[in-house]
Formats: sequence, structure tokens, C-alpha cells
Amino acid sequence: MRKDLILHFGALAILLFLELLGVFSDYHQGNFARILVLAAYGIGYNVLFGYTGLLSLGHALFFSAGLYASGLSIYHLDYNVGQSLILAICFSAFFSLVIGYLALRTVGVSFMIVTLMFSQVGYLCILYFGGITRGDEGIVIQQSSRVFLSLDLSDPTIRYYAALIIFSLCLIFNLWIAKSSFGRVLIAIRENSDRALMLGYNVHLYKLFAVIISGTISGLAGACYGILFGYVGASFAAVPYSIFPLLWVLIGGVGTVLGPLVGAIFMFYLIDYASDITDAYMIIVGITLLVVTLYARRGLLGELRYRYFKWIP
Amino acid sequence: MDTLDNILLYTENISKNFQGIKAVNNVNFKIYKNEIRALIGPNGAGKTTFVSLLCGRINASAGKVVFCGEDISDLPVFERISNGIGYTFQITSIFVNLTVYENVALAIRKDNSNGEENSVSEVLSKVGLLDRIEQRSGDLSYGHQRLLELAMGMAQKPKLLILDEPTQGLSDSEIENFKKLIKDISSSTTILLIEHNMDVVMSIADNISVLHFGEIIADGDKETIQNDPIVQKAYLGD
Amino acid sequence: MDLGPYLLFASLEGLVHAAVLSLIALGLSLVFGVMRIVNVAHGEFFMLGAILAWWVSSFVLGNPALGFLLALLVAPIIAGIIAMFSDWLILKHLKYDPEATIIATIGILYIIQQAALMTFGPDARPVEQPFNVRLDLYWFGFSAYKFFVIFASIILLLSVWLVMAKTKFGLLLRATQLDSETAQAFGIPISTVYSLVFGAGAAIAAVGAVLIVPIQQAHYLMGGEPLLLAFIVVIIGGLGSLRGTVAAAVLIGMSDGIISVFFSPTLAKILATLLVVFVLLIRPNGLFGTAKV
Repeated sequence: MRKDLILHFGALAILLFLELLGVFSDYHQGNFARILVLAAYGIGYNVLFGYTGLLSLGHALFFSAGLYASGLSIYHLDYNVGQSLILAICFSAFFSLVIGYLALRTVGVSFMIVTLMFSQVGYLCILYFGGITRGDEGIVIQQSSRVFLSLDLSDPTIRYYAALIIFSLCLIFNLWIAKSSFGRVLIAIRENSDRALMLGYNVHLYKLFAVIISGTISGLAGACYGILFGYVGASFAAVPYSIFPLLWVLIGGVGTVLGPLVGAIFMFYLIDYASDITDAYMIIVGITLLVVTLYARRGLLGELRYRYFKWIP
Repeated sequence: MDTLDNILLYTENISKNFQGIKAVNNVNFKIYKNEIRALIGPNGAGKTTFVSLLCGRINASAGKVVFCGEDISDLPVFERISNGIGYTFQITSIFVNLTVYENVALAIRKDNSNGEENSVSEVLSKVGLLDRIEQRSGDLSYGHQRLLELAMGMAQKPKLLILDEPTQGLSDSEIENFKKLIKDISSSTTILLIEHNMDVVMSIADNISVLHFGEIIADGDKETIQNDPIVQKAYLGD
Repeated sequence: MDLGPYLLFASLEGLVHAAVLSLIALGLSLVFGVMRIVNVAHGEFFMLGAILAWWVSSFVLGNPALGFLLALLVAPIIAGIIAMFSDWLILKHLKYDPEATIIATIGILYIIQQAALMTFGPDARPVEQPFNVRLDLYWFGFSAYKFFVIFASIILLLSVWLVMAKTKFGLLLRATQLDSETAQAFGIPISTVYSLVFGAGAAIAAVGAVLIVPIQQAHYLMGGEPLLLAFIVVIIGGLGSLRGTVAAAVLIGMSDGIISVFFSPTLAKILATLLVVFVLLIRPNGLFGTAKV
């Protein structure tokens, strides 16, 4: 069998057996369920940043688009989980198309500024329309609404498996993209977009597709996060949730399929630990960003790929 | 001779101004099918700008470009290239972090007839890089990178291949190899060659156009150009 | 109050917004113009200016004007020095690569913000107005201090323009902006120029903060909103164009102030972003921008 398949399915198998063998305490089981959904978000982010080379500073916009599309439809319209997920996916895709079209009218640093700006305004919109979204306070999704195929998604074990399934789907999709000729063009755009254009690729359209794929995965992850953990709040649309996926990807490895998972595990526990010590735990995020940009630009898996294992996708 | 049928590409009064400076001025240019045309001229004559107007890297200020009988002036660059104009860069522009294979595969875009791997191997064996197919292209020597750049041009199977100073910075033996390769490619493709090295031009070009201060000052076969008093004046100065 | 006077009142409030926003956006634009980098931590230097103003003025008892003047002098200098230090410690080593720099300045943002939280705590801190005079404008009274804010901002904008246009240092800046490699070849000490510019950008934002803090209070999270507005301004005005920045800042600041008075500050920001969308659709390089960024 191929090495890359062994690596990735092996990682998924480990995540499965950790649960089957009961290795997790309740606390870590809950944490890992969160990490898996967040890592799926990181995969979505990585499609744009790691593979296409477009640095977005506003992905919380897409994460919260999915989160609110599903959460609000359950809360106000009594959608069931399946319906709300479909709505969230459709809405995220459409929303990424619009935002991508606008943001891609700029290039370089302007793209980064514009994404950050749109995302901030998304956050403000959630606050402004507090009558629907309940603003800062947010919405709690009742346990009775969090049932899918008669499975109670608020049950910690079922929740873990659900998170693992979501993560696995995103990971396999990412793996497929990385290996496809479509993904190769995205990488070509990242490496040298001028050359990609001069080889006859419609670079702009590819970038737009990358935004849509990235935004839709992020939105799906957001929707799942709300449903699995029962809370939809404005804090998920704020700046930190745009910075986290960037950080996971940078730590785990830019443009690697498993990088976001590695980064999310590391940062989740680091922040968990730091927040016990100080209220100013976000300083950890700042320090890590600096350390990574100064000393470890490729991230863990990126470095491994560069030095030893060229085949890591 | 001058029927539309054997003209591959022509321009009508094409111009490009950069902030008031006429880099290319009212150029009427024709290239015939299956010829090797050299485009020469002193530094700063506007050669790279001119070919950039043909393939659409730069938008013309005025005038039009007709390729295979179709006006392509308003087409974006990627459509011109997928219509059959290939361009290789003056400054080597390959994907340095990707393998030689991936570079050529990207240039092929889509090939349903032959299978990607076969097509890549075929092109690479022509330029003699087959044994380096899995190498990271940034690790190649400069000469090999130039060959890869040429291979990427060939892999596109263009109707018109624009080579922007392909032999720049190469050794004499490498240049000999390049001349052979270009001759080889020209059996299936029309070639527009920007070149400083007059030895290369004289040995492989069928016809020569001379660009000077953004204008074509002479057009014709080698003897005509060599004996043209205007060209001599432009090159030698007055 | 009738609509007319109410509109006048809102416009005056808008002018105060516009004045301070011009300073913040000018700092951002200056740094981008010369160094070709975007400083995401810019809002935190603004916040630092405000908190330092509170800190400095709390030492000076007696006449609040004395504390204010001291803050106006000290806070921008400290903010500038911290900015220069982060340039020297971090940005220089990234060789000002646009992407790495933007990520690093996000890191700096959190470090400054959280350090402020650790040092000064989470409370909002008021600073007393240096002089408490209300001008009677017939329909309503308006704080004379707010006029002073507008006036002081204009003076500062003019002096930045004078420095850029008339001094040798300004010439160095413009040369570096046009072509940093050639400038270096002609013996301009690029890394010193960069440090100074980065420091100056932060200091200008800090001045804006010192001016506004007697009206607004200092808080460790106050940097986010001006950063958002400054980004809106530079995208509309065209990144790196100082004239465009000031023009857009007046436009956005005025409308922000007016809409805030009539409706809500949040709605003002949402509408400003819609304007950005509009600008992106018709002129992606900004209303005053020419060069591609």
C-alpha cells in the first residue's frame, strides 16, 4: 500500500482506537471531540492558505456562517440536525462565493486586510442583529434538538465518534485534493502564480474555487461545532477564531493534510494550560505566532517533509 | 504568398504606452506558419514588451492581435495560451519546489490521448532530463533549469512558441544543444525567438524582424537584414 | 432640538472622529508606504498611547492640563520606542516579507494587548480633560476640548506633511519608498529608516489616543475598533497614498460619527464596510490609489 495512505488512515485508526480502548478520561474525550471539529476547520483553512497560498485573516467569518446558519435554523425554524447541516453547507458555499469574489478583487496584503475587515464586520452584524442572534450571550441548542438518526449527539461518546467522522471526511477530501490535478494547480499558484497563469490556467477562477472549498469546509465545521457542543455565540466570529486556524496550520505544517490536527492538539492543550494560570492567556497565542514565524516557518510536518519524507501530501 | 491562410499571427498598429513613453509604437507584424522568426534589437527596444502584448501578459494601449484568424486582443492571457500561444520566460520561471515531473505535467494541462506520464516522459527525453524526473527542480543546475523551461514550452504543444532569450547565460556547448532542440521543435511549431546571440539567430532563424525604439525597422530573410543600412545604423549607432 | 442643529452636533462629533482616525490611518499608511508592510498591531499602539496617558497623568496631581501635556509628550515616545524595539527584535529578521510580517504583527498585537491586561488590569480608565470649558453654540453646548482635538490633529497632519515634503529626512523616506535597493546603494541607512518609520507610525497613533482618551477612557481592548476603521480607510483611500488616506479618513470618520449619533456605532461600521465593497467593485486599488499593491 502507498505510504501516504498508511500514514493518514493510520492516524484516523489511532484516533478511533484511543476511544475504543477507553484511553480517554471524560475530560480528554471532550477535549478531543472539540479538537477534531476544530481540526476540520483547520483543514478548510489550509486549503486556502497552505495549498493555494492565500493568507486569509478572516476565516471566523466562514466558521460562524456555518455555525449560525445551522444554529439559527434549529433555534428559530425548528430544523432538525440533517436539515440544518444541509442549509449550513449551502449557505457557507454561497457566502464564500460572494466574499471570495469581492476579496479576490485585491491581491497581496490588501487581500489579507479585506478578509480581516469582512470578518470583523460579520462579528459586528451578529451583535447588531442581537434580536435574532442574541448577540454576545448567544444561543444554547437544547439537547432535544441535537439528535441525528435517533442518536443523541450530546452524549460524550457519540459526540466523539461524530466529531471523528466529520474530521475523517474532511481529511479524506483534503487528501484527494492534494493528490488531484486540481490540487496540483492550486500548489502551482501558491508557488508561482504568474507562471501558472502563463501556462494557461485561469488563476483567478482557481483561487475563487479554493475560497469556496475552504469556506464551505470551515462552515461545515462551524455547524458541527454548534450542534455537537450545543452553543452558538458571537465569540466564535471574533478575531481569535480567525487567528487560531492560521496558528494550527503554521505549527502543524503549512500545506500538509495532517498539519491542522497536530497544530490544533498542541494549541488546545497549551491554551487550556495557560488559561489556568492567567487571564491573559492569549499572550501564548502571540508568543507562539512569533516563535513560529521566526524559527519554524514550515511547521512540524512541513519540516519533516522538507528534510526526510518528500511524499507527505 | 501573403494569403491569410499561411499567416499564423499578425498585429495591426499595436502600441503600448508606459506613462507617456511609447514602449511599442504602431507595430504591424506578421508571422507565418512553421517558420522560425527571430526578433532582435538593442537592449530596451521593447522586445519583451512586444511579445508580452502578443500573449496578453500586458494589455495593449491600442491596436489588435489576430491569431489563427481570430481577433484575440480582448482575450485574457490564460485563454490566449490555451488557444495555442506558448511563452517561456527570459528569467527562468519554474516551480522550484516541485519536481521536474510536476513542472512538465502542469505545462501539459490536459492530455487525454496519451496519458500524462507518457507525455511527460516523451518531452523530458527530448530535452534530456528524463533521468532527473523526480528531482526537485530548484536543485537543478542553471543549464538544466533552462532546459526544463523549454520542456514546459514544448509540453504545452502550442501553435506558436515564444522563446524569450532561451540561450542567455548558457555555455557554448549548451547553446549548440539548444539550437538543435529549437530546430527540432520547429518541425511541429512556429517559433518566435527573441535572441541576442547573433550566431544563434543566423544559424537557425528563417526570417528576422528588427525592433528599435518600439518600432519594427526591418523585416526579412537573413541576407536582407544583414545588408540593411537602417539596421546597421541602429546597431552601430551614428 | 431640531434636525438642523442636531445634524450640526453630529457633524462636530464626526469631525472629532475624523481627526483622530486620520492620525491612526496616517500612521498605518506611512508604515505601508515606506516599508511595504501592514502593521496589524497598529491598534495596540493606539491602545498603549491611551493607557500610558492614563498612567502618566495619574502621577501628576493638581492641574489636569499638566498631566495631559506630560502624557502627550511621554506616551507617544514610549509607544514609538516599543514599536522600534519590536521592529529591531522581530520584523528585521523576517526581512519584511509581507506575509511573515503580517503574521508576526498579529503576534505582537496579542503580546501588547495581553501585557497591558496583566499590567494595568481589565478596567476602563478615565483621564480628566485638561480643560473643562463648554462653548455655547446657541442650540447646544459643545466641549471646547473637542475643538482642541480637531485643531491638534490638523497641526500634526500638517507637520507630517511638512516633514515628508520639505525636510531631508522626508526626502530619505520618499527615496526609500520609491526604491529601497537603490536607496541603500546610495548610502541611506535603510534599517534605521525602517525602524524610525515603524516607531513614528506607532507614535502618531499614540498621539491620536492621548487626544481621544479624555473623551473615551482607556481600556486594553480598545485597539480593535480603530484598527478596523483604519483598514477601511486605507482600502478606500488606496494603501500607501497619504493624501488618499487623509481624504478617506475624513469621509469615514465623519460618516462614522454622524451615523453613530443618529443610529448606532455598530451600524456605522457595517455601512462603512458596504462602502468598501462598493469601492472594491469599481476601483479595487482604492479611490486614490494608482499602483498595484
